[in-house]
Amino acid sequence: MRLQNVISNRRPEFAQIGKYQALRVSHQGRLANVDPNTVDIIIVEDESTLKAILKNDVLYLKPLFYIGDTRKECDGTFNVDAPHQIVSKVDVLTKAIEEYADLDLPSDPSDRLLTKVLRYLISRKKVLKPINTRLSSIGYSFPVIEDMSIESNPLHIIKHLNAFSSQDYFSRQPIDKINICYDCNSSYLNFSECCTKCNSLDLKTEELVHHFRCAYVGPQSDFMKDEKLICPKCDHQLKHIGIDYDKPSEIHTCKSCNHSSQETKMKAKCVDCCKENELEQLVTYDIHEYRPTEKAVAKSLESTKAQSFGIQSEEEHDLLTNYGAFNMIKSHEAKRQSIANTSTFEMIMSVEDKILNGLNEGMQMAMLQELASIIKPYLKHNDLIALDRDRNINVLLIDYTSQENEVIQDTLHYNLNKMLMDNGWSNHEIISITSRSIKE
Amino acid sequence: MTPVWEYFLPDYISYWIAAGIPKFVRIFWYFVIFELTRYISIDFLIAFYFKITEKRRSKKWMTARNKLFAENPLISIIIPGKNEGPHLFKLTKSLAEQTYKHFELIIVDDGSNDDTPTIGKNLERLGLIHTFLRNEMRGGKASAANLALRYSKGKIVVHLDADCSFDCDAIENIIIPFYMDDKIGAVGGNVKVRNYRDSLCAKLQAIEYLKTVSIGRIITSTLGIYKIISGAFGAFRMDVLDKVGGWDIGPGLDGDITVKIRKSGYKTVFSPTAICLTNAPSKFKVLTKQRLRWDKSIIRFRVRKHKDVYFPHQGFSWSNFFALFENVFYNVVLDLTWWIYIIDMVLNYSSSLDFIIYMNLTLYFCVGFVQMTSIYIFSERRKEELYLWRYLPLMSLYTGLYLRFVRSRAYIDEWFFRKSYDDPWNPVKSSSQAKANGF
Ligand SMILES: [Zn+2]
Ligand SMILES: [Zn+2]
Ligand SMILES: [Zn+2]
Repeated sequence: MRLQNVISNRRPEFAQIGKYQALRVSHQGRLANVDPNTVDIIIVEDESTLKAILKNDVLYLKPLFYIGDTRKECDGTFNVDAPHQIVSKVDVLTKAIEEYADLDLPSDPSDRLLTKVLRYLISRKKVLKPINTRLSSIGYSFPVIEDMSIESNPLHIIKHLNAFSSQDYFSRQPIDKINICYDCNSSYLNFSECCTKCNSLDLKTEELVHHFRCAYVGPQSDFMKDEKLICPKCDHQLKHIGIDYDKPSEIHTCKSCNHSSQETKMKAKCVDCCKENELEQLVTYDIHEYRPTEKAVAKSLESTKAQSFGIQSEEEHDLLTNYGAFNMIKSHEAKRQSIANTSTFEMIMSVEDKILNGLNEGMQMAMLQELASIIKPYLKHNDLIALDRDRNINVLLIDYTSQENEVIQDTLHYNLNKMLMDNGWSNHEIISITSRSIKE
Repeated sequence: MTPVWEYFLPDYISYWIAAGIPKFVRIFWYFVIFELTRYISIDFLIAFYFKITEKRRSKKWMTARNKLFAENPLISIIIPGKNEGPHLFKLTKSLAEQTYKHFELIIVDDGSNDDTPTIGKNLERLGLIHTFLRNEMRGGKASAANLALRYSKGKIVVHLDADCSFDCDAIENIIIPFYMDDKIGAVGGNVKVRNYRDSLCAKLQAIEYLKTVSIGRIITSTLGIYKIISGAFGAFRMDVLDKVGGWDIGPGLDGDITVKIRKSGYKTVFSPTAICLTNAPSKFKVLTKQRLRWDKSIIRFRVRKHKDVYFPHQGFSWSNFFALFENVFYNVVLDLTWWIYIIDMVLNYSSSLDFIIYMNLTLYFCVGFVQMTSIYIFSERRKEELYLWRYLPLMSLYTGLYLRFVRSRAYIDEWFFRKSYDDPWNPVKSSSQAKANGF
């Protein structure tokens, strides 16, 4: 059961194209209850639905077409007047994704992401190529992986991709370098030269002129008289560059503080947050394109059933601990902590009341359980999750450093809220998380 | 084998006893007329004068010093040069120790082809240099100094060489004289040789510097005819530099600007306590090259460019006349006279040349010691300089022969061939202009 399921239960439209069953989805909400076994092709008409499909763990590999002209990440455009044009392509794709039909996805979020991306790229024989876009804060977006990931920050995507590359799943090829704002990671920067002493932008740049016969050197303005170059020292007119005079260099004079220097300081002002970065402050990233390796092909075909060792069953009754038992363990942990030098934290996560109250009791349970299943992969496998009577999700983080505790709290807070907002639950953050050490 | 002195010495002594005073003066007229007067009588007269005026001078000095520190004017220290990068950091350290603190440091890199630009820019970024200016195309020392001057904001400009180091009160002592007399337009510092332990060549120069710079300049300065402000360490009033248009094309631009300042009516003085140490060439080959350049500039500037000071005209001044005359006389005229002396000896005393040569050496040797004594009286670092005394005997060969030959060669080159215009010390573009315009 996925969040989208809860949102809408309107029916999608089906159509027959050749031997294939095509599903035309005009809104992502209509993905509800789609049985992947009955759908061969998906046709979408808006970008958010397209993204939702790539995010969707059962539908992401289906041949996917877009109505209208597009550069979006999909398998092609769909012409309503000539629907059969896509058939040959679907033939190929259907054959390619058959290999993955019976394979599950790993539960570890990062591993799951990798597997999805690899299966997608390999079935499409594609390379992951970043595309330039002004819509991304760093000027590049990473199609497919960005849509599949819970992360929306492109720098996190880069980190994931580089980690995958270092595990030899991708061979990468640099295609560009970006510099981004130290404070907000934006690449929308405005470069300007300014005074090395007072940072003023009001600089006057002039060429220096050297008059050979008298050895006078000064800025060109010293020589300008009635549109002619007249030497201020010896009153001779300078006529012939290379014979009478030359211009050995340039100089900048600051009109604010009167400091003269041949150096200027380059400043990069961030358009997004207004920070004036010094050049050394800018953070530099290499942008690569990523090509799946041989090892990636093997990885994409791995069966995940074996990997889960039966510990992390996704069955819901194993996901949640009984609240009474949870409290008992908590107090044991508290005692253990005072003897051993460890620390355990209790994290309490609550969904805004207004949202929960808008759902019936069954839906409330469904939502909380789904949230718990999303949290689970972020935790260590000994950690416990329980629901209390006030509809809070309680998490016991066993043997965490306070830094780890903070990181997981921040990550969950950001990711869950982002996901709920992206899925249209609210336009503000509706999940709050608190955590405390259980030390007595 | 019998040693030389057993047969030579008795003959030698009896020859001179038999000669008598008139003949002695006749034979050593050059020594008696020129060397004795110059190095012995004048030195000791001035030393005496210095001693008796010491109290008054030090009082005047302290008043000027108080005036300086009360006003605390901005001083622009300018250092034009090529490939001086390796010296710059040490130099900034040396200057940071100065008792006078209110200065800006302006370095001009005149078309260096080593890593000077990188070093300079870094020091500027670190704030150790106020302004670092680089000319991609070399323009010669004068243009580099003028560029620094153009961007100097100080009331007084101090010109340094990058490979010098300074006593911690050197800057203070070179600018105090400006507060003693409004007519002082420029002050020269006391340049000594730092690397005198390196080689014999450097040791001999160290002694020479003590004689010509440390003592010679106290004397010319006291007489009001001081005419060379060393490029290694000199201070100039900004308004005066503006008036004379800064530096003109060298070589020998140090002496040239001093003359220009004197000609526009200002005094130039020497400050013996403003001490700067420099590295002298440690090989005779390099030294010869340097001296040829310096000596050619005497002809080019003292004799040719500024010849007007010798003739009556509107701005004529006796002190300028003597300043240049002394310089030209003691260098050019005496050099010529010395050759006449040699010819005189060869023609008239060819039979007793061996006795004459030895006596000359003996005389110069004695005079060397007498002179060293006067240096000892003036010096502020006597102990260190005692080390040099043992090399005094060689000085008669060094100044009497070596320097004289170099000088004669330079004068001929410049007088007949104007060789200084071909000196690679200046870029061709500047030299050809200077030659065409007769500077
Ligand atoms: Zn400024
Ligand atoms: Zn000119
Ligand atoms: Zn920013």
